[in-house]
Amino acid sequence: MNRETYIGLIDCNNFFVSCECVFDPKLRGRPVGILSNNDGCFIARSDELKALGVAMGAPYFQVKNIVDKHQVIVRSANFSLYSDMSRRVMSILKKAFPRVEIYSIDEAFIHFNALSREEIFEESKAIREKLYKWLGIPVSVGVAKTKTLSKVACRVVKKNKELRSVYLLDNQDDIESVLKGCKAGDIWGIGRQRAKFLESRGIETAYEFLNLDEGWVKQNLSINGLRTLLELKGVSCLELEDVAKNNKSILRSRSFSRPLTDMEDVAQAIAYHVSCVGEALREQNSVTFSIGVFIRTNMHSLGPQYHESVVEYFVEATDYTPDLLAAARAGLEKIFKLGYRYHKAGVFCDHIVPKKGSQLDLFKAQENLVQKDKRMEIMDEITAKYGNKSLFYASIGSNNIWQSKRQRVSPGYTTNWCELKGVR
Amino acid sequence: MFMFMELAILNNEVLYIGQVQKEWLSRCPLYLTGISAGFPLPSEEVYESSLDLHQLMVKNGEATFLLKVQSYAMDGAGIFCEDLVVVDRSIPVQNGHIVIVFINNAFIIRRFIKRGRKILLQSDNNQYASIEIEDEDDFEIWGIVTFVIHKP
Repeated sequence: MNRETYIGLIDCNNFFVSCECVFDPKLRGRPVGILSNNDGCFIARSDELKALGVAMGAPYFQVKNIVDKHQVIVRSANFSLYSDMSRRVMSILKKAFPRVEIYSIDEAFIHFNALSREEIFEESKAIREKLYKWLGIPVSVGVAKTKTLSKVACRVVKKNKELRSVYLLDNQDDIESVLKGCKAGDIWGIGRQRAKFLESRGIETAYEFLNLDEGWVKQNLSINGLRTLLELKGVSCLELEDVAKNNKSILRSRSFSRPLTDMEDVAQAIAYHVSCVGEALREQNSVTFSIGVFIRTNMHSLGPQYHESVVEYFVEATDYTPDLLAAARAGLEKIFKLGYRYHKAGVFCDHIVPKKGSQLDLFKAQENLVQKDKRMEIMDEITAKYGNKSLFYASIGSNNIWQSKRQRVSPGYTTNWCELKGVR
Repeated sequence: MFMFMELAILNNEVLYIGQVQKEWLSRCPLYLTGISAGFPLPSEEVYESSLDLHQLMVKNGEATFLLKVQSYAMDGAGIFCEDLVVVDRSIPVQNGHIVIVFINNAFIIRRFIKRGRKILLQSDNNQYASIEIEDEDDFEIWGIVTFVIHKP
């Protein structure tokens, strides 16, 4: 038996809410919801809030009556806190297990140290206890022979309190009965499109999908669909990926705290997003051949509607923020129209390549490039050390008229010297 | 005798070009920093690194948090108002530990004393009454204080 026999999925329960509870334990057992940037929609809910019927992504204004009636505690997203706690979770996992794939801010796949089924179960319980004791973060652990089945196991765990947060799903009868209770679309890897297609062929449950002909699946759902099918049958097709994949595209956008009508105000928001994109590119050692800009009015409000996007291209791929800023500015000038109340703007890069492999004209302006790199390095260092308000591009401006509303955000307990938790 | 060309480059400018003997080169550490003149900086040698306070005060980084003291309850233990405390959540509590406790909807700092089945949250200041705990469910030990950061 080799180590790869079992794969575990560690999934933090209601992660953002759990992070808030660590520093504010009285939130436990109460209906708590976390709002997205700009306090628009619920992006995390405690079990108690879920029980009240508030859906993931529900706009705040739509459920305001529930919030008032049940005294729901509402917080703005505190991403500094969540990402610090996530870093702690992942770091503990990396020290505890031989292989860890960070799948998202609150999920990781692991390989176990132990070989036997019993020991693996014990290891799962132990890591769960450790994460709760050390960080106050409750997790669910789903264990199975493949990644896809470990996702299924984790789903089961979250729905059945009596499993006590750890479930090892490797018995064929159990797998089949669990899949009978799952919709095909609930399976990891079967997206909305595929689920729709399957439904049109009369396949609704994951169990019905499991019994499909492999050739038919490959033909109709591509090789990825076949992989999902094999994974459900216990044949591991998806490896753990130790290194986080670099993004092939980057998007930064946000809605404004109030509608903007002036181009210079919108331009400031765009410039801020561009500087974030530049940082993201350099962090993953990539350069981009293009930068896109989009602006839009609020679809939910009355008044004239307008949305437009434009993509500007570079002759040589770049990660140099001033170049990106100039291109984005040119793009914005092409699409901006007076007379509209703009609600949201953003920038995106779709043509990203690794910096090393990009085509470089060795004989042209090499020195210039080195200097550009140095400037960006210094800039990134300063902002990493002193925060991103310390040094910024003039085009971003300092009045922050477009900045988002975060009216109910908790303090930066782990990231800001001035906001530490007080003890009496 | 083999001769080697040596270049010293600083700020994209070539500062020194010369020929040196092979034997001399092999005894010399290769400096990656630029050499302007005279005696080179021995920066590439292996020395012990500077003292790092984090290394001293944080044994288990993942489980360690900083909190700010806002009372005089632990004056006697040398923990004053406005001090920062280093709190490790991974350490199992022992009799006499200074702990952060969540009780009655508040975070407090006290000394943990266990007498038989009774738990006492003792303050090291006469002005504060100690808290006696009957039911274990009524409170939660949040972490153990391992260091105090005090600005005189």
